Amino acid sequence: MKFLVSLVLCVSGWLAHGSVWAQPAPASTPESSDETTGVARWLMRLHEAPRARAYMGTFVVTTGSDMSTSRIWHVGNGDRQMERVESLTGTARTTFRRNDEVVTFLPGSRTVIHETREALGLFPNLLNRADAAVSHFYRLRSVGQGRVAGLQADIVQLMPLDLLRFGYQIWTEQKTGLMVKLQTLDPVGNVLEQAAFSELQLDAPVAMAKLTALMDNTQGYRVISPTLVKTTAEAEGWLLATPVPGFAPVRCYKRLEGGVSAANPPLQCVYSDGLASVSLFIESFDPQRHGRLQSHHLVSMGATSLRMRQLGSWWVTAVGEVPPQTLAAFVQALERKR
Amino acid sequence: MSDQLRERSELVSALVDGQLQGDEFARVVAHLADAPEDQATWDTYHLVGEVMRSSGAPVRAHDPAFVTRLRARLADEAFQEVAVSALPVSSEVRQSVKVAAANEGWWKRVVGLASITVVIGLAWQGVALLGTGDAGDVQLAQLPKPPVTAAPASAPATLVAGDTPSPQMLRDPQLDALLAAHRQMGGASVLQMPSGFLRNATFDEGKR
Repeated sequence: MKFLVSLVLCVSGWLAHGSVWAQPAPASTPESSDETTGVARWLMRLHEAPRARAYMGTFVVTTGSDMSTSRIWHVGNGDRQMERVESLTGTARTTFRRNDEVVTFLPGSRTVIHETREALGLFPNLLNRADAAVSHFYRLRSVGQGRVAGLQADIVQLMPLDLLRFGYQIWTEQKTGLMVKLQTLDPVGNVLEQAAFSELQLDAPVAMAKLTALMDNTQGYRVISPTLVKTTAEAEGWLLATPVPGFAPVRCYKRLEGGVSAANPPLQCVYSDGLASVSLFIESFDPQRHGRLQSHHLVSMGATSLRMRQLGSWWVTAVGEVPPQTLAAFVQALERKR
Repeated sequence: MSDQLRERSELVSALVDGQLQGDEFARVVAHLADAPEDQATWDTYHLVGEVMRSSGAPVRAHDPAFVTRLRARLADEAFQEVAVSALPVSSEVRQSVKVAAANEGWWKRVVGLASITVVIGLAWQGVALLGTGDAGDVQLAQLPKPPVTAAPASAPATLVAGDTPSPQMLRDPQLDALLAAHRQMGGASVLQMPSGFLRNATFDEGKR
């Protein structure tokens, strides 16, 4: 009897040990409700972190062998968040953001691009929905602590539970919960792309009034505002016959170049699983413009891939920070209804 | 006919690269004087050089239509001849890349000889130290070896066609526009907000 008890203890101990060290195994791991709320809660905290904070720092984005750097100023008072991003590499440009209003100054061409990015404000709604995909398609696990930009950070991984999305490793500053580093990982764990603060000053003296003055001063610049008309895939006669697991339609719009309505303006529909997003572009097939691309169905850059397909008299391009097979599923599932 | 054309444009290319000398140089220059087509090729090669060396902005200012045409042609030619990419390039592609260094031959020999000398020197040192049987010193002697680390599995920085046996770089303004539109409106998640916004604002579209 004693032997049996010790055997049971031993086996259960071994099982517990095994489960702690097990790598994320998509199919075999049952999803607990605790974990589900855990992912959502953790993401909400991440979302709330910059809302009432001021900081400035240097931000570095690395894609393969390529590196881009910018100087960042951020200030938030709860309702309103403002940001200034000044590029230090490549084309000189300064981007300002006031909630979902984005203004980009291009001093080289004396041009200002004024846009409203509604998608920026969509996140909490996306997460609060009953069918929120994030919890069903990713698993959160803590992988320890580290230091980024001189600050102590917690490291977590959001690993996908299927092969239709990439994984992420995220560093958040311990006191504020600010995301200070983000890596996009392929299924094997290789880093496809990373973005991080190389230097970050928390509670920096960033004045919202000053950023507002800079953002609104477009004197001497030509202001361009792309005209975007909201629509739906159905209204345009398109149907995603087989939905791609986890990806819900976010929005669709037609882009009118220079405010002039073309005969068939290109359509862009965005789908998201809460972390990754895919844009589906549909335009009329033009042998001159698309003929050259026909031999290349798939192209990629870092974590971003593009997949193209001719569909009758249409040309379909799927773009997203997802594995190529996800884009293939999108372009294959698309059907013309009329 | 097309072979002849290719031969002529190769001669012009050699002239631009400063590879022609003596009689051949004189012959090609004389030919260029009354061949408007080849003069255009000469101009194009110079512009190609200028576009490749500079960021392209001042060139574009002169004649945007021309530069657009040039870029399209460059993009077409890039497939067959130039694989300017940090990616592993297959051996056939590598063979077709023309290295235009006039002093290539002797320079290679000098470098080869120098590296052989270094290797012999190190080996001699290593053997001598091994003879003494001192493990610490052997380790020191091995230090100057070139690092034999495997290249990190890094993702390509440029648009790369993934459906061909050898990766190819793709430059296409249409694809760049779609990428930009996706970055602009596709950011719907927490990772894109605000970090993704910073990433997109930092990421340089114009560099490619």
